[in-house]
Amino acid sequence: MLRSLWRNLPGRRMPLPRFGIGDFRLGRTANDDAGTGVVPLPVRSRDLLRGHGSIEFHGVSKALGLSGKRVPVLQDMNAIFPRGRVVGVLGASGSGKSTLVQLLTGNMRADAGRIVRGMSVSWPTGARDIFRRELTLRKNVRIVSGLYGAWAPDMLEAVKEIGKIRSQDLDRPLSEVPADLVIRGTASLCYALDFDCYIADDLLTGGSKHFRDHFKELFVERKSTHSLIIVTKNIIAYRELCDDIHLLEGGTLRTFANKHDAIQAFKTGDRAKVLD
Amino acid sequence: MDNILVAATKNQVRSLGAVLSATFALRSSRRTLGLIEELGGLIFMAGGMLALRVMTGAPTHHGMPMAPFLLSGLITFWLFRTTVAQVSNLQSAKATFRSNPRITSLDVLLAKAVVNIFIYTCIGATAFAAAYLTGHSPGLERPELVLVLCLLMGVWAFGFGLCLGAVYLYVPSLKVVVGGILHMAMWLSGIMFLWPEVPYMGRWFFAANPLFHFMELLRDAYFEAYRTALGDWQFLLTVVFVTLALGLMLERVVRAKAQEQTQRPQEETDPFTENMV
Repeated sequence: MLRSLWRNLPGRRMPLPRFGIGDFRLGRTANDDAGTGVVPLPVRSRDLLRGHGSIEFHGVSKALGLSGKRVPVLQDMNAIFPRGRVVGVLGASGSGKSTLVQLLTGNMRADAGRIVRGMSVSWPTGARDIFRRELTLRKNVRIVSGLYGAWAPDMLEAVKEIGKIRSQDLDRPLSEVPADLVIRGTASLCYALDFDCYIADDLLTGGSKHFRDHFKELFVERKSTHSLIIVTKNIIAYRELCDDIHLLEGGTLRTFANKHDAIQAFKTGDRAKVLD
Repeated sequence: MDNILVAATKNQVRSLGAVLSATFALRSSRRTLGLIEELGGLIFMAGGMLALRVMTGAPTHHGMPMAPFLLSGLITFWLFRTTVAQVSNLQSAKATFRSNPRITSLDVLLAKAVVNIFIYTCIGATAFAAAYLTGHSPGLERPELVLVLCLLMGVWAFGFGLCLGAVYLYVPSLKVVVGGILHMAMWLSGIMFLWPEVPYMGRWFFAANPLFHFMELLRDAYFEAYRTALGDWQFLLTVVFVTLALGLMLERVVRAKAQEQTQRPQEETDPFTENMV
């Protein structure tokens, strides 16, 4: 009951392919400065990947703003986010990080191209607006659990345990409880729902330092079986957690041979504003 | 393929269930004053009309007691008006659930409409029961038809609201005009009069007014004393389903436009971190 319906789809019962760094091809490589275009996946790999535990971006473009004043944010982006890896995506302000997160979670549709989600994807783990402030934590947990087909009493227990939330706080409207408790509630529920892929937008989670460390430890435990995509401009805090780091620049993703190179490229780039 | 369809259907049902539950909880947990304001308008209007009729010495209308005659029309019209108001806001529909990819704006609008129809049906049932128990109304002649008409009015309001919402995206100032038209529509919907009282020169208008058909059929189903010569189920069903189909299509067509207005690109540079390295 705890798993989302993706688990029951026929494709999910097949053995999942494993990927190394070499297989993880994104839109442009660091050595592809001449702009020769996309590095395409071999057709065989593409068939193997589709719907079997990865998120794929195929020529995805997205522009934002009102018609007539639309600003292209992502342009012909190709990427594969495989299962079982922690991927960091570095980007400066205005580079399209939030748009990428929205596209990854499925909250926004691409203008062009195709996004294939072979995994269940969480909401951004640091999002605070998953819960309604007018309702109690218990009611909120019930509603979100129902949405993802999870058994609400189990989820409530999990939220209490992971977020260290007392029973008496469950029945108070969220507008009357400290913000920290709301953050612990949303993050704990996100973890308890057991998505295949978690998306983090700048912060893995908010709240106190102890809770953030605790939450990070929980993700380290799930590292081998779940995916985590951290889209941020402050990668330093998660540098050790990430298997790969990529750079979001000019509307597309650049890959690098190692994490250090990616961070250096970001720091020395024209628009590097990393908070170190 | 079948499994995917079943899974998608289950997901849709779950989404709708969750949104309904959230919308109902939000509506009922809203400040008490909000509900009083909403019902206040209805009570004020019903009380005023009733007082006017009683003062002029007309406690019945074509054999129908005045209290249920006015209440049935007003509550049904309020159901229409409030549902249209709630559904026609396509831009902010997703705002409540903006971080949740499984919920679409149509889910939210549908949930709002269902909750509103449920609330007004309950208000109607309570008001009719109270009027009956206090001796101001006869029992409902065909309660099932009254219920069907209330639900049908809700469905029509939902479709109509979607159509209006789509138009509002392109002509926002039309909201003011439609607000005025809805006020006029209340007086022309037959809340206070019946088909035999309609002047001959205006009959073409009332014969083409779905609201008037609703009211005529409602009085027919409610009272033994009245049999409508105008109310036409076929006309009403055609109007309701054509409006609903049009509304659903328009909502899908303008969804991207509605979301476009709430998504904006970030600034190229962050003024607060520009000098920090």
